[in-house]
Amino acid sequence: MVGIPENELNLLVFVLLTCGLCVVYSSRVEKALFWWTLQTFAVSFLVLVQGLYSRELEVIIVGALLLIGKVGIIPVLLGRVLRDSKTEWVGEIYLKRTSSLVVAGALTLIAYEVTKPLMALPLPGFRNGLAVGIALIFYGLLLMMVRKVAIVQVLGILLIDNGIFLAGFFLTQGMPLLVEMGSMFDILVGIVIIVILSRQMLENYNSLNVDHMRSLKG
Amino acid sequence: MFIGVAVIAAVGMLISAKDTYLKLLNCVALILLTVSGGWTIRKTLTQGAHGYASGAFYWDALSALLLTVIVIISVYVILYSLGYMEREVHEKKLPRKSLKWYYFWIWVFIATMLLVVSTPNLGIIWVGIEGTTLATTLLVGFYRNKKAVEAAWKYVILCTVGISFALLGTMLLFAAAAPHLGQSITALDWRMLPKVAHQLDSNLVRLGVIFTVVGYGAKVGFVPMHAWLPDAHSQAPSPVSALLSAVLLNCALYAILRWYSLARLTTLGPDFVGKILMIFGLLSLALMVGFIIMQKDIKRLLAYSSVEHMGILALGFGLGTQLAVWGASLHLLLHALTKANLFVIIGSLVQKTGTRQIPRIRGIFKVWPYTGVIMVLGLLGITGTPPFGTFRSELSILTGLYKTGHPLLGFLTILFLTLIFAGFLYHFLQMLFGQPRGRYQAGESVSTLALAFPLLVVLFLGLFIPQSLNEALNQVVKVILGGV
Repeated sequence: MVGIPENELNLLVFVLLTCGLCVVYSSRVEKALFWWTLQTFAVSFLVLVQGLYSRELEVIIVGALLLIGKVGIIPVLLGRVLRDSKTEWVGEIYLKRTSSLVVAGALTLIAYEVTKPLMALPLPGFRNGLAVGIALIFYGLLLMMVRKVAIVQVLGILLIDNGIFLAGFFLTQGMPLLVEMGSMFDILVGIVIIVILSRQMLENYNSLNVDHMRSLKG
Repeated sequence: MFIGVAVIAAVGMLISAKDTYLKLLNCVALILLTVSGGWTIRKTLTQGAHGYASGAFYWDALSALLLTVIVIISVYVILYSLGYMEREVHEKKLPRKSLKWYYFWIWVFIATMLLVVSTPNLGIIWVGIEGTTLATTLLVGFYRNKKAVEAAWKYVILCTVGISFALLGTMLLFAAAAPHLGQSITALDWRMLPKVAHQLDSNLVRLGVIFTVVGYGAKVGFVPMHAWLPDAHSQAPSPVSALLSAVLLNCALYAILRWYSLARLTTLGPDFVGKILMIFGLLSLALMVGFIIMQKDIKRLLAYSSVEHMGILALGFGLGTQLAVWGASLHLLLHALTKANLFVIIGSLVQKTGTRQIPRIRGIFKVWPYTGVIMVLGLLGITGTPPFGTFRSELSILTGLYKTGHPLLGFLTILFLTLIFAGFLYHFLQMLFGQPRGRYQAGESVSTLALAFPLLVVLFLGLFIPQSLNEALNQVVKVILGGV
């Protein structure tokens, strides 16, 4: 397959990984949101460039949709809720920022180990991309477990989504357009609904701290 | 067609929240849904699998089974909703203008489920299943109070994470199939995949299957991913709980079944996925024993019972013998009917008594005898007591277990089922007899008995299985086992 030269690809993948680590390391929600947006921008850039190199219209369309939907709309929506809720701190539980960075580093190594059996299939240059995709999924899960502000949990889901998108991109060089559009639409609607829910959460609890939500049990 | 009917109905609901308007529009939509859905089901079962719009929509016997469940339960639940939601507005638990949103999301929900069972593409199935999560989130949090928001939050977060694993699984399958079927949408088509099944890379398929079963399994409510289910079911309005339990869980299971029937044909062999399903099934069944016996909240009790029944289904399908799959297919239909009926009747009860706490509900027979009768029927139906149809289907699965040389599993399953029966009996007898607590408005009209219609069908199917249904179920078995 014609594609981005190996070195540039590695540089982009490095940017993606760094952004992921920065989200984990952030102590303020606003920063975490910024790093996530930057990462998603890098993902759409990757897809767009790949589409231009290989001259495939489908890939270019997916990249453009990513840019509009995830880099454009989602950060604005989440940013608004953040401002209204006056939440700044990400709500560290179990792990402080520095220790979570160490854990994230370990998870990256695990991601490389996990993707080893899949290496026989895609082109060798994609190894880093696939592993970083899996690593981002791990970061997302980690973030959801060790942070208690609702928006950071959503960022966890969004990180997972980026990770899955990347893994899928390197594994399959692009899913069918219909499926891509469907999943993108789903994540957009999902974020809108999550924003509505967090507003209701603000009305009920006057904060976005999920610690309050412990009443349903057994 | 029917997906169009549901979408148009959803949009139509937004026009006005007037009682007569909503009733009229819902009834028209339900009639259209029944006619178009029934026509498709009939055509599928008599003339075999067929498509529409050059194969973009496609139905076989398995889709027809799910379609039947969706149509019947939707009609039943929406008809019940008309009265139920009106009473909620009347009692000032909800503002009238929220009604149109209620029906809007219900119809979007139905439309996404119809999409799931009408597409021949595993990718679109994923889109549809994620769509059902989104359509139901605001329904789960419909009362907008603290607990409802908490339940909705847990629901959307857990299910979205779960489902994203299923997306990863789907991508892995695409990576395995694309070299054989081309980089296009056909590579995820469950009509094409079996033809190349034995050529697929087994590493990719194995990982894909694991991710998918775990991902959709979160939505089905397999233990240990079931945590959202009792919260969502207990906080949602009762008709929504009925739809969630009776149809949505089955739709997620349907997605797993499509993968199951495909993975059986690959080099992994029929046992690999089957074992995963059986483990999930047995785990779900075992853990639910405790939850059901200890439960104090009546709607959570029913939710846990749904987890249990999904466990039974997973066990039956996972076993993969003719008899067990036949039993599980029948059980899927019967559980849907029984559970919808129970949620509806318990919903009315909760509305009348104003509490969900089992210890605070007493003496139903004295105050509302007809409700009591339906509850007894529901109790017998859900626990699989003869002569109800659920007994027949559970017995088929158990026989399957013993016949394939799993006597220990069979014994454990019977043990768990018996304990669950005891738990249900304990809770229900307490509620039915004794002195009523609090001053309730006694008496009810005989028309309440009409609610028991699905249960009577379950009872009938326990005594006699019509030839046509038996043939339909045999077709389903053929689809799932894929000619093995």
